Amino acid sequence: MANSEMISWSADDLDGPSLLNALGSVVPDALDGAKPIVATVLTLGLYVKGVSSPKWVSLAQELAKQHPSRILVINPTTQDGQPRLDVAISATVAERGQGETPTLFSECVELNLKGGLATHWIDFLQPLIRPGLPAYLWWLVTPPGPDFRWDLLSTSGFTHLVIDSKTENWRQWLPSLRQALAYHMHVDDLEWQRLRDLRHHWAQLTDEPRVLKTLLNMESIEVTAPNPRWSQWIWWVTWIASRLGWNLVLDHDRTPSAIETDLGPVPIMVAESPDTTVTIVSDNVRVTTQISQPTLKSVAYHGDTAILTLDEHRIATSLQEDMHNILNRGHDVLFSQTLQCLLAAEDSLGGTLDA
Amino acid sequence: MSTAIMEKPMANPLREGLVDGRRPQPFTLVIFGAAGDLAHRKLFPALYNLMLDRLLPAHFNIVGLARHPYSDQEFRKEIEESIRHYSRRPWDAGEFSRFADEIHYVTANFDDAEAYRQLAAILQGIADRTHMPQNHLFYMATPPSFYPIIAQNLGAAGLNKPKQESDWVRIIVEKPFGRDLASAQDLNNDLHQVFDERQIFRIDHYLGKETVQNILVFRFANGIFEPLWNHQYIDHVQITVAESLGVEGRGSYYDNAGAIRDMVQNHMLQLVSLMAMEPPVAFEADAVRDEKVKVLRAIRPFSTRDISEYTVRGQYESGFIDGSPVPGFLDEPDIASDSRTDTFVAMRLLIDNWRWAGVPFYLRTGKRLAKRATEIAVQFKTAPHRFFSQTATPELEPNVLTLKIQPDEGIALRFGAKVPGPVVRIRTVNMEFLYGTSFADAAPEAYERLLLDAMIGDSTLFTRKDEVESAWTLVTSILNGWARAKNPIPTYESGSWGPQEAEQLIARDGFRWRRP
Repeated sequence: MANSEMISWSADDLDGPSLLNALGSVVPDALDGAKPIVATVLTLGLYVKGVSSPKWVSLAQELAKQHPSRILVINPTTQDGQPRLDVAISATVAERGQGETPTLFSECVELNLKGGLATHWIDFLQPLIRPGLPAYLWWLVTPPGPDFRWDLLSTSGFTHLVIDSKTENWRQWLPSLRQALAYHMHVDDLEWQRLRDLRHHWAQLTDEPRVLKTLLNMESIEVTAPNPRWSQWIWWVTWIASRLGWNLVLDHDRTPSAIETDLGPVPIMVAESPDTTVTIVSDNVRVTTQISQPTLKSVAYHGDTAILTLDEHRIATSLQEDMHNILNRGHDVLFSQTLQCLLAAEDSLGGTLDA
Repeated sequence: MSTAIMEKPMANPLREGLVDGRRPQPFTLVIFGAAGDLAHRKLFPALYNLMLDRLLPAHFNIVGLARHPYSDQEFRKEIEESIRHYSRRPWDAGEFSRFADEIHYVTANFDDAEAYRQLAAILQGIADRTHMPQNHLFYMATPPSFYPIIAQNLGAAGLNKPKQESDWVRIIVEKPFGRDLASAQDLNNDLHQVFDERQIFRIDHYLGKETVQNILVFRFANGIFEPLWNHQYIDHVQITVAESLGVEGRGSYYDNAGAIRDMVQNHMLQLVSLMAMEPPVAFEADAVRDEKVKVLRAIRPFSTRDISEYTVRGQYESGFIDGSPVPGFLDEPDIASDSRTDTFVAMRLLIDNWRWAGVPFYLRTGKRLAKRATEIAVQFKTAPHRFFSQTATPELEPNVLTLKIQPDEGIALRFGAKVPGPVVRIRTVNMEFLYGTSFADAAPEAYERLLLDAMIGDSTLFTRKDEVESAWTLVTSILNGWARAKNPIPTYESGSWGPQEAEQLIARDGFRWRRP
């Protein structure tokens, strides 16, 4: 942003009301009493309890440079002692024309919470959330436990929950996602965001009528990956099932094992391999995409004859860019539909789930 | 006789819902006039930025055709130079290496039938090599006099129709689309002899601007404004498109066009129709354009007397812009010394329909005005009862909603607020939304959006035949009235807000032009 100024302020061992006072006065004090126009269009909370890497505060500050937002880095440090907090505020103020009121573009507020503030952090955050605007909670750590107050979170002002399923244990998130959805929060996943180029690639592949026919009549799906628990293939296969209006079948550990199509079950075979690939097979046609960081390479074979190739360069995105894309594009309804497909498959398992 | 039934292409279910990045099918873009200024400044940079945004398909090709002699390699170098100079994002060698699968160039005159056979062979060669669908987008970046010639030759070479039902062929036509109603109709007829209307994409780059598209979003995505958007609450509307630049090397073009053809017939009437249209039944090309055409048809025609009373033209004289002296229009290069071309136009329009009965729309555009500003100001009626007339503020300013198109893109609402103190004193204040500080990503250039829409086949932001002809019907009546008038053309000093007659035009109705 051109012609901007960063205003920084920090203090230790504050109470809640002192923080609110500081948030209202730090910028005007630095501007000789001038009250800026507030341009922020959303609130983003980063819940980082117990997570030290990457440097979340730096990441939050970088996001604040891009987005007109109030970003709260929420770090409950200890539940012992008095309800106090250590705080660091950095505000980006954009200068406008000469004589015009400056604009408060964004604020990044690092909150190290102690005592009751660490325990009751949702209550504490409520006055800090910009009213009437979207508020995202980016939950960076393992999911909350069964006693978590989703009701309180959803009424606190947070409208969106963002997770990152790029972990082995991401299935543990499913109960929490159900809770968030039950309380009418929008749910988004950074891993779904990262899958965007593969989804577009397959949309392009299936523009070709022979590939589309293969998809609609597929007999099996094959997946290879260095880590078969890799979550992206699960989103890919669930997305396809959801788009085609078919049901997903999960095995006992909630891994997709088949798609129930109009023509019968299509088994999903997953194998460990150094190469990451997804393949659909039908009637002597195989369509395979090899997924690597620089490229997506697809080939459709009819028997031994290649009938279509499609190579695309991929964009390597950082964590910051992934989050930027979610904030900029807003909630993806397609992800909601895909998630519902997965949750419906989980429902059909009944009470046989492994914890 | 064959009884085979053509199978309708099935919709691709994996395309559904991919709204966050619409990507076209593989295609070849053929640019007529590829060595010209438009291609150089706008088209190549727009394509490059679309590619950086991953909005182009993995496979696409470019074929340039123009009189300037280039080899394929020189043409590629020319594209690179254009991107280096005019792209909004910096040139990157790695990215550029993926810019297009194949780049070809044909040196030829546009009326040379052999050039079209050569073009057909190139397109067939690309199809044979890539096995990709034969989707072709023809872009007429040429002087308008070549449009019928190019269309006719494309038809003669069989390039106007898709090879298969699942393929597409489209043509983009740049403005000016005619210079009066008759020539616009002729051009439409010429194009329709070769292309269907759904294949023709008439570009008005104003519609590609984010802030112009936001007019529809502002009106129809918000519940609070539309109930006020009518003659009961709106007093009048002012639309200003002011430029501080002069003709800037386009003297010979401009002397034949003037402000009314260059700005009013296309850009400004588009703004009027977007502001005044009824809600379309869907955000789809024909639904939106149907409503826009209804507005143009509802504009009250000008009688001869109306033209002298409710339109003003002007010509700039010398003056100062940003403190520097600038010449008058008649002293600009390539301008006839006795030119009667308008460099300024102001007019009052009335829209005879239920919603807008009695609400004047004032339009003003000109070159060498005091500052560059494009805005739409909606002035609301004042409060019905002068509740505060006994206080220290007997006169209340009306509320004004301003949609700022450029620069300082945004929206401002002017309203009265109480000045702190023991007496009731009211001062006008502004509530502002600024595009530049409310969104994280920079807005794409208008040509990026329009090129992408044409590739996808979405013609919502392109003008339809009846839309163009309705606009020309109005403008041609004014041009005819002006042609009959023998009085001298009013002049205005460069750096001012236009001739005095423009002030009088609006003052007769009891209003004043806004100062943007």
